[in-house]
Amino acid sequence: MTGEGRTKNKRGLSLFASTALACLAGLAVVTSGANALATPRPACEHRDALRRPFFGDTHVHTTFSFDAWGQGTLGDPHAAYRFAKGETIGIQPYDRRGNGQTKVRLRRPLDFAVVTDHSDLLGETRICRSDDLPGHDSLVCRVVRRFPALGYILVNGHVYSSERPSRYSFCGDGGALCLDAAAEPWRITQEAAREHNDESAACRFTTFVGYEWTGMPGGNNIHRNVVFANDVVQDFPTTYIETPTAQGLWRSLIDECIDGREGCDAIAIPHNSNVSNGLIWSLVRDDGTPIDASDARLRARLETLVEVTQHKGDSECRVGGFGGEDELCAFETVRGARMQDTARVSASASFEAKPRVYTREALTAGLVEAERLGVNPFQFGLIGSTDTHLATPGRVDEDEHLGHAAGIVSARFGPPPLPDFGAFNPGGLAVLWAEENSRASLFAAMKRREAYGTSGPRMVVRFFGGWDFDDDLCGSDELVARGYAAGVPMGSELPERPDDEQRPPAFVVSALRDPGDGGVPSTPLQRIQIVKGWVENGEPREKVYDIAGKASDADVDLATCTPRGMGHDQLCSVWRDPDFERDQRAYYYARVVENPSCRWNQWVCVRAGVECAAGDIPDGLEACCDSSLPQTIQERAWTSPIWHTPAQGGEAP
Amino acid sequence: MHRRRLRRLWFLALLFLCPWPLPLLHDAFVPAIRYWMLGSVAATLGLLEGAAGPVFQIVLLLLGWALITTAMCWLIAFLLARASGLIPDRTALLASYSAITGLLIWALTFEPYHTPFGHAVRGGLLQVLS
Repeated sequence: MTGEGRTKNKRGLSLFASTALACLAGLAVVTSGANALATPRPACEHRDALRRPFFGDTHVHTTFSFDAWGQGTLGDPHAAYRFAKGETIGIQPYDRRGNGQTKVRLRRPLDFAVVTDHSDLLGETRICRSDDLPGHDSLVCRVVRRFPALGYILVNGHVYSSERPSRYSFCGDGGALCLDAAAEPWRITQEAAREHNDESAACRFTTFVGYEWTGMPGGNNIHRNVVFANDVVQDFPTTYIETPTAQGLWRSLIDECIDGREGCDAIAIPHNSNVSNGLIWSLVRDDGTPIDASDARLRARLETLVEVTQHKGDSECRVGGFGGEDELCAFETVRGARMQDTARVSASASFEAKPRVYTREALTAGLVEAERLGVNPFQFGLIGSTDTHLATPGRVDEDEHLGHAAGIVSARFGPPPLPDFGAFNPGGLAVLWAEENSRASLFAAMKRREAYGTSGPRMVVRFFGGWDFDDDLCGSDELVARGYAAGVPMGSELPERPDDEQRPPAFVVSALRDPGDGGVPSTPLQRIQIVKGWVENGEPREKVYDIAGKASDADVDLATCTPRGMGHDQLCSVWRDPDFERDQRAYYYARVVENPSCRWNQWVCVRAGVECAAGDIPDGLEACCDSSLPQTIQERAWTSPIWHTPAQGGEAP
Repeated sequence: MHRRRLRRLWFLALLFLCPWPLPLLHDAFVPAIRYWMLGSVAATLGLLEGAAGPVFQIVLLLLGWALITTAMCWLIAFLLARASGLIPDRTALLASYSAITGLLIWALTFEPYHTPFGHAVRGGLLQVLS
């Protein structure tokens, strides 16, 4: 072959290679979709166009969180993900080599999890525990190491509860040393998410990169968990210290992720509105002026989900609200108005919650704002999670509760006899309806709010709204297909009413009892309710309808924790709103309630053989005989709402 | 003179040995001297790094409680010294020394204190003072 021929061949090969590479790159872009995943992956073997429920936990702290480490937790994000996948890990107390002496394992692995360590104090925590970093011998770090529990209270209070948070002096000018030190845990957080995300065709387990922005001005909780769609994330998580308002957080997510970085997408999930004093649902900007439509749109775009229940209490609705008609609002209520009041409140403490604290109140306020602005700022779906500070995502079973090491300063020594504050609980789960267990599919579910929360059990709940559902839909094998084809799933807006349709909208709710596999105690279902909220003459209104099953005399044998009485393995109903007004904005969500079962404290007391009448009360279990502490619980699920917006009544966010 | 000596002796013993529960803030059961230590640490941190959030209230609680428990120690010591006037001086002194030595041995040998602010949930005198 001549030199010219070789040159031609080289050119040809080069052209071929370039074309092939360009084609592959184009293919990758096309297949990865709008939220371009950083690395293409094989399609999942199990994909269901009608979607499946995936159970997970979007609120998990590990040793990188100052308050988790301050209580002795040594499990890192890798440990948390291993635990979520069903592996055994060790937790407090630890031996000298850092091996956890209490072995814990999930009875049922999770489908997905998000480690959300506090972005604030990420660097300070690393500095205080690493003797090779400048600042290690600062007074703050010495106090934290020498008096860990005192340091826990002082440092948490100084940073998280302050209205003007600041870095400690050992962080240097502008907090540079601490911000630099935070890079390593943030890198490990991303690395762990990447490593444990199952990218094989089996699609067994999904992770997301996340963090918690930890604002608590004046002790009032305004925390948000940030969840990223994929590996493309902010260079550094937004902190309350540098960005002390929720609006600032949203702007940083837009600037540093959604608009500022190709392929980056994120949502923010508020939690614990119950101890926010209403600040979490603020309707004013940072400068104190009322929000406008663009503010509302930004909020609704980023905050598509809210954690309705977790370790530090339930946030659904106000006890005694609306004349006390909804008796089931008295559920895992933390009787304190602020986060910093929660640690020692008793079950009978009196407190006054300000208006617009609970999620139901925010949903209704959203309707008012939608009237005013044309955009509903509070158009969010509902999930549950744990807020574990033990790196143990999804550990929600009442009969296994060991606390979550949040607030119990002696947790570092291992769980005390009664392992948690009486007002706290094991937390809940987030459930996402998705085609497959992949980041793209699950994140899409989060964004369209096709999600529900449970207080722990894994009941399966479907909720569709539409105009043209047959009354016998529950008996049909086509329920789900029909639900999607003729209506919308949870988290959506009802379609406009067809001109020829005179009936009110119909809602179908189907619930399957938690099967209790893996040895988990399983309790029958008691009833399904639909909660409706609307605004009438400017006043918020709400009503609860029993649509399947009913309140019963089923109870639980407190001596053995065995449920008694009849219940249901499944419930289903098609319901039409008898009070429907076509010109009225409204939302509807379903609540599925189990028969009573033992609360975590009762399991502890039964196993310890506490006999209150005989005065046989072991040390540390005095609360077993505290009549104000609930002994039973009615576990439940809350679906995301379906909204009705009158025709020409405003725009969707 | 004798009574003052006894009062001082009992006051110091109670300050270092007699455990007191801590109201409002977690399960502690330690001598007044420990509350002075914790309060001083918290106050120093607050002075040098700022007392944002509830830090000031925590300092106030710890130092306030230290002051109250110290006053209680003094009051008990005062009453004990007064009561010792009912028995001969030598006997009172001997009884006091014996009782305080017993208390000291108890505090050193066993773990009578509940010390959640440190590195162990329970501890003896040495842990409390370290």
